[in-house]
Amino acid sequence: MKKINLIVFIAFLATFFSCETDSNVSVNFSQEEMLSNYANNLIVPAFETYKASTNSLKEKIAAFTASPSEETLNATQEALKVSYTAWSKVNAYQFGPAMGASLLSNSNTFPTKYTDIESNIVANNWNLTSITANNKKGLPAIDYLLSNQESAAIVTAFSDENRKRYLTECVADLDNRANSVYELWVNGYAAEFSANTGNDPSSALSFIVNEYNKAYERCKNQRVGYPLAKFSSDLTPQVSPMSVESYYNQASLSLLVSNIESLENIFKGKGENDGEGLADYLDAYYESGASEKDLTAEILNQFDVIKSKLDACNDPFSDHISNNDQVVNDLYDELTKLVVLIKSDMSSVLSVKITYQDSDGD
Amino acid sequence: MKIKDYINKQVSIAPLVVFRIIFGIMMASSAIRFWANGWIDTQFIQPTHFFHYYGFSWVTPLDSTGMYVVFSVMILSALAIAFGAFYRFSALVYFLTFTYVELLDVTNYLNHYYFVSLMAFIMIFLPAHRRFSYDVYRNPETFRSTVSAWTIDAIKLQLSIVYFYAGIAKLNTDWLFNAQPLRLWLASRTDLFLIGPLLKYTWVAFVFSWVGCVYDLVIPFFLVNKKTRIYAYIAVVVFHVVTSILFPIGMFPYIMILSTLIFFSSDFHEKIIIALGRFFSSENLAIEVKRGRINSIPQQLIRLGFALFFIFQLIFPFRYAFYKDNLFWTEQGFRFSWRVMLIEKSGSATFYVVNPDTNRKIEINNSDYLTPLQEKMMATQPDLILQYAQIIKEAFEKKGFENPAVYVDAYVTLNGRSSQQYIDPSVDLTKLKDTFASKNWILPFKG
Repeated sequence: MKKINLIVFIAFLATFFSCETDSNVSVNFSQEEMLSNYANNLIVPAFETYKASTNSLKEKIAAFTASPSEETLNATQEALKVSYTAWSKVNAYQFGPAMGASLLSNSNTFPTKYTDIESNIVANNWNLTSITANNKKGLPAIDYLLSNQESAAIVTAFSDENRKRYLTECVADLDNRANSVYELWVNGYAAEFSANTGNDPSSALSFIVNEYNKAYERCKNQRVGYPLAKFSSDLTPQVSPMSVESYYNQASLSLLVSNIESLENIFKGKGENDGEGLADYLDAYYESGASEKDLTAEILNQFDVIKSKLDACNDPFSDHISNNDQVVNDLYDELTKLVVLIKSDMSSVLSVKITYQDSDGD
Repeated sequence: MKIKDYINKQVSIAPLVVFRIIFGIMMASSAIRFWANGWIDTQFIQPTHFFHYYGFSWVTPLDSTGMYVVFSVMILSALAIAFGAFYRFSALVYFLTFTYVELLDVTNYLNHYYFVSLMAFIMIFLPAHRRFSYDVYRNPETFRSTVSAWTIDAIKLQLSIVYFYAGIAKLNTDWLFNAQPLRLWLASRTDLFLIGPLLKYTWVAFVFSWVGCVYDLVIPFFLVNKKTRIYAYIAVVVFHVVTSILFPIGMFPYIMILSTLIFFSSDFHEKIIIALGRFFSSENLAIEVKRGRINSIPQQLIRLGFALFFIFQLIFPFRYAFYKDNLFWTEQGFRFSWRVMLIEKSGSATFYVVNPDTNRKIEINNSDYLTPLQEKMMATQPDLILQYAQIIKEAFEKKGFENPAVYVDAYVTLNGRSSQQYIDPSVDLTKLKDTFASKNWILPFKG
């Protein structure tokens, strides 16, 4: 035993001598406080707004189908924009209740398969609950149905009862899912989430960081990369302007901006109030010396660069895409640079594995 | 002659028997846990592509049913080891099924799994079934009360290598003087009950690092020494319980806690057997047979095999010395060396395919080919980056493109440092072959 004591003693001594300068520094941060900020200040309000927007969209659509006119149509189009914007605020929270409800794939799979929508309506035969229906419903399908041609022509088209019923079923499905996810968050999940500290694959931090990365990559890939043919599978890239988000409503750029702003605010922990977020967590690591660089500053700086590139774009975004403009290619390059910072650097500092797959470590 | 004396030295079989039971039960539970977590599906059935160990690309997964059958056989054989039923056959089957599963995808590699494979291999050749077993019940003349001392020492030696080499691996500046990666890992657990508030301090990470290192280096010696054994064992229990609370390392802490019981005396193990014997009325503890059955494999051959096995085990972890640059960065010689929990590494790798005829370049969405776990592992390990480039190349050749070139833009962060570019982005990965030579297409580590 003496030997053990001696060795342990030497180890302690060596420790204190080797790191005199910074051994009392600490990472001053409460994960629980941050998680509670995310739940109560960002996520629940975001789902509440989204749910309210789909409720309203449903009402406007009911009014429109009851008496189709350019006026009632306009009201639905405005309501749809509100819902789309509200979606951009919940986009990054596709875990927990949203994952259980497959909220993302049921609500916003784009581009929508409009040819199938049309043939379904003509055949008066569809099943929106089938898993193959994801690209024929949700926000993109509603976007198509409400804005695919001139207003007058749409109003005329909606004299068709099948078309009315298709639209009504789409919005009902969208609204139901929005409501149920919101209900689950307020009735228990928010509290469960706030208390789920740690950094293993089933921790709240892991959910936030993983979904943050996924949402960011969705932004980069689906909203810009795929339309620009960056991922074309056949090595003969053909731009595809129709695959932008909200193509028919031409709201793509404002939605992209809203998505990026939302991601920046999530990083900061900024909802209705500014609270503890990933940025503050990284700061705590940086100040303690556990991580070497001021990652928060670098990430926020890159967000600024991206926003300045977004400023150089204008509506309709799909025109930039069809022209394969340098400005949108530049935007894409800057979007790519942020991936390294959030996927590699941030996840490493926070010791979160970028994977939902639970597994043992060494 | 001393060596000859040692080889012929006979000791009680009891520690070996208890170890057999522990090993069998732990391995069966481990496989059941793997199954229950749904990992058979996520790790072996869902992936469309697999990453191979060097030289083992011929090992491929079976279909869904096949994989579940393999795991069922693995669990049954582990239980059979515990009961000492058809022991050598069961040990062989367990070793083969377990190792087969491990060889399927290198992204699942863990030191623990390698340890299990080695231990299962050793077990095949040990006479651990010669007492308190179904085999003896069935065939009483195979009973033995003593075995050669080296058969028990082989297990002790393997366990000692794991500890001692893990200790040596910790003798690096990141671990000792920066307390990394523990500093990052512990800081993320500050909300932990009771000990959480302590973990935010940097000095705590230093204490953990140094104590961990000293523990690994000395624990085998203190376990061997009769006087210090009990204290050393308390340290083993505390150490592994703490690691199991702090880190997601599955069954391993418990495997080590129970396995190290092998260091205790034969009296101690005798008591365990007697206690267990109460549950099995059929066990006749008094049975005495003059002569054990002759082994089917000549003993000398087995002993020679063990000697070579351990010489390999002692040398192989040092192969990294042949490679230049930082071991943690290049990972050349990293695996199979008991480098446990040494690095926090994270990467992001964007692959590009270029059509050499038209110079058209496109990006690859990694999730089209890989599972999230595979993607994470691949992004920080050069040999896997190369394998993935090959996977992409083959996928595009299948689509009818001749000689597509594949490039990667990879960034990796190591132990709290900023991310650095990892692989030479101007190198066409399809032109490279994975060999044991230094990988000069890995960009140098900037520290």
